[in-house]
Amino acid sequence: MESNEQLRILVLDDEPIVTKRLKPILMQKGYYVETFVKSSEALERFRTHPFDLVITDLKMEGIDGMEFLSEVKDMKPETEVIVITGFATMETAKESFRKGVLDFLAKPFTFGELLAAVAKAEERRGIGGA
Amino acid sequence: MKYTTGLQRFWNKLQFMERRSTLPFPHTFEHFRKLIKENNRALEIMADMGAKMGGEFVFDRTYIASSTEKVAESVYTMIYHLDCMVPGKFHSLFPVYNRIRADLDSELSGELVIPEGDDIIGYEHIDDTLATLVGGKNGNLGVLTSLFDIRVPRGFAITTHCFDKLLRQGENGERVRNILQQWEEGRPTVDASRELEQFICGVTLPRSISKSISRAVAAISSHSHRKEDLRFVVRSSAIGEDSEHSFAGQYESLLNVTPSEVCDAYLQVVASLYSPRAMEYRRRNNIRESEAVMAVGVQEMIAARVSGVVYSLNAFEPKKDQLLIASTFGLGADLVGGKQPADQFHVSRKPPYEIVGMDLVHKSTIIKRRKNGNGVRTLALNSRLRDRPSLQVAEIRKIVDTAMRLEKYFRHPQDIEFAIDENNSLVILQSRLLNIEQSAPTLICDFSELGEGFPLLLDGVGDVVHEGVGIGIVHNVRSEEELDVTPQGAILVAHFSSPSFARVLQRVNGVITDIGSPIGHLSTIAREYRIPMLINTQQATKILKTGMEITLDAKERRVYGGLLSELCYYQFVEEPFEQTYEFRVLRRLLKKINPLTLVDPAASSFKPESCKTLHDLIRFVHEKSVEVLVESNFANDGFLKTHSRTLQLDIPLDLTVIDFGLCRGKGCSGPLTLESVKSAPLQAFAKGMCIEGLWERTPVEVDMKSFMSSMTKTFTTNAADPRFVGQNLAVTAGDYMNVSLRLGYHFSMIDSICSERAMENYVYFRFFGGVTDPKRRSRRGRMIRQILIAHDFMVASKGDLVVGRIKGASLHATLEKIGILGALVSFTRQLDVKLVNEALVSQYVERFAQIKAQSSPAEEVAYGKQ
Repeated sequence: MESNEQLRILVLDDEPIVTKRLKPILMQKGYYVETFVKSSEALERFRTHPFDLVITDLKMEGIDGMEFLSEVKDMKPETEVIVITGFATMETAKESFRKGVLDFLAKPFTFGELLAAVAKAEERRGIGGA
Repeated sequence: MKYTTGLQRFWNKLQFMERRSTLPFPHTFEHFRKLIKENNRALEIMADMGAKMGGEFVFDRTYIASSTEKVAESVYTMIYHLDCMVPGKFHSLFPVYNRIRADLDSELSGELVIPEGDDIIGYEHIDDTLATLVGGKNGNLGVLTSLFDIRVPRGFAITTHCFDKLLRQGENGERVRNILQQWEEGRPTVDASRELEQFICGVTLPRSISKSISRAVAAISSHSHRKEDLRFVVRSSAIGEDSEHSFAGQYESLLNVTPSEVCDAYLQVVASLYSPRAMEYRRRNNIRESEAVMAVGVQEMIAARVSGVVYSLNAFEPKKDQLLIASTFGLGADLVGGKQPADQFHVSRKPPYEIVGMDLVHKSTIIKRRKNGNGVRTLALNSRLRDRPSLQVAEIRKIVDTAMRLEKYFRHPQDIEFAIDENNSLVILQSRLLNIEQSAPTLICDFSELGEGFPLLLDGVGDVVHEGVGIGIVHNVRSEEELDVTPQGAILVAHFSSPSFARVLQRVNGVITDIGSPIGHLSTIAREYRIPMLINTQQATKILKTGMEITLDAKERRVYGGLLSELCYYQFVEEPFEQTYEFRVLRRLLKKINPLTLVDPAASSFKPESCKTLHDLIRFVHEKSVEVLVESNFANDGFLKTHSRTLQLDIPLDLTVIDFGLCRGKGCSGPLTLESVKSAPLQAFAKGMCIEGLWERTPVEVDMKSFMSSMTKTFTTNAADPRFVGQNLAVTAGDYMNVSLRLGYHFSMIDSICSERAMENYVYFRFFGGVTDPKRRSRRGRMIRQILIAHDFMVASKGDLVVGRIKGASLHATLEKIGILGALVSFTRQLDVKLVNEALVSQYVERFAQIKAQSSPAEEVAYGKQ
């Protein structure tokens, strides 16, 4: 698999279990994956490295998810964002979509649901033969 | 309760009686309704939490904490409402709730809290949720003990609770802390260590502890055929995440200990917690002394004829896809360190596991235990045996089968220590995860190429019950006979996920079904045994036929043709999700939430104090609330006298109806005809009950045995005023219905909301009790369960308690299900007496389906009118 064809994914969640379980499953699908548990570090990395897709939690210490995804969209508007959150409310969902989020998954979610959302992102980017 | 002195009890009783008589029925009913709502909510969340154990979901600590919180809150609310219905009567539920809640909170806090527990726990009572009490090694052996057909040494754990009592509390604790403080302030390690070790070895065990130890030793001795010759191994069992590896070999491990010396050996092992090396290690790694605790394992020492180690995957040459066994005669004390020469056997990992090679060595010595006194010694080996293989083919087979089973269970290659005892039986001494990190890169090919050349038989279909990879040969199961001959290592393929599969689950590598329930009984067991399982594939039985070699990847919901062992390796690289902290916490919490230990409301143990889990509390509160409602005083309650009416039916059933909607405010009397019933769910239910051919009209002959057990039962359950016992009551209010029935000698309850808003709809059905002996009752339980499952209910059952639930169905579908419950209640009224043998269960299930099918068209029309 050529690395320049790979969808590059950044996963951010302050609970290590989430990144730990998402990484292998996304890698198995042939995606390039980097994971972070601190939003400041993720933002730092995003500034210097391009990612096609960001999967982020909302409620976090320091820079919270909403702020993080706003920054991401400001810097690189074409980046797709999938929000994963344990505190899904209508308000946060609405706000996320207003900010251009592609999909919004309430935790706990299944691998199938996440992969479907990622596939959607892939399709939107026109990667994968579209 | 301690505070409830005699006087207070009298006062409470007086108040209670007074309030009870003044509580109007609508008030009681309102609390009942809220209670049922919480009951449903709690069960809903519990099922949801249980389903998370399958590995398909990504969840975090926030989820664990909030779900636990929600269940606990619901249970509390239930208790509150019951208390409102019968003030003060079940006050002792509150302290019981508080105790369980405190346990849950301490699990959630995640700190090293030494749990309350026994000083001594036998291996047969240990599972991995007790790890902080018994330590990793003991926990692991306990888990092995629970696996069918795997023999481990008999033994017991001396817990951290015991350690805490002995060396952290009281004078002893003070003494230990003093010395440690001196050490922290600069006293040389060797010096402090010597004083601590001497002090601990000299401690006199409190009588309660030494007595428990001798009792446990005696229990093992009574099971052992080696009476005078009985010896023990006493070793540490570390607490904590990574301590197993980092502390390895630091603590004392004593072999060949005589029964009378076990107590001293315990102290000696515990003292090694303060060896200079261990103390320095903790200092270097910033482990606080307050965290240093120790559990100890005491096991029967196996008189090993042969000892050995098996790697379920030869990590040195992983490409070969083989198991590696190393063994020698006698004890294997130096085998693990590689100091002893050993025979090697190489076995293919693909079923049927052929032996592909052996390397025999010349063995000149043997390690044996000393006959008198402690310890072991090395002797010359009998010259005839020196060049013989230490294992026979049959023994190798057994070892390989066991190793592959353990690998499957722990979902990771295993490093297993074993012994063959003097009776030639295989004993597993330890099984731990094999470190395959170095060999991982060579094991893993590019995942995208995996599966090439292997046809994809099923792709992306079905629901995952438990993820994981299973390779094996298809075995179709259509009958009990086929089930019984399920071969070791097969992939079980069936149309329906029947609970009866549970008995062969330990020997299969995977389960695939056309249909099934992810929260049913079999699913729960599959998760417990960690068997990859895929259900609702719709088509598995059409494609997968007995004898086919296949690979099931439950996580990806795929089935390949052929044995794709590389896929197994791929999953080995990840940490098995069962090992992650979150799964372990969830499992520990669920153990205090989900199991139902309180079953029989007629038993004397059916009381608040016996509740061990939240589910027990739910069950108890629910049972009592229904009792309060049904046994309401219809003769004296003004509201009931004016608002209750008898429903006229084609069947001889005396059903009292209170319809809040029908006669709001003003009383209405006289009999009620089915046509004038306004409540749609009650109509559906009554029509279901009256379906032609269901209500058994001929009296059923009750044999003496059944009669006797029914006598005892009715006397114990119906202690209330006989005039009001057996009241069949339906309470309806708009789209809500609650029906409580005592038919024959069993009790059923249907609770439902049935509206245009599908999201709010639910049906809750509970069935319990009955005439006849427990065997027939549980047969009837199984029959009801099968019928419910066939009609899409989610079912949980224990003995003859069956609970079925449906949620979120459309108005039409919900009414149809209620009709089925009506029919079921009629149909089962007296059946328990007739269920004299097992075969009748499926016959009756079929007969029910037939009667139901004949009556369906008419019912469709009836529902259409609603």
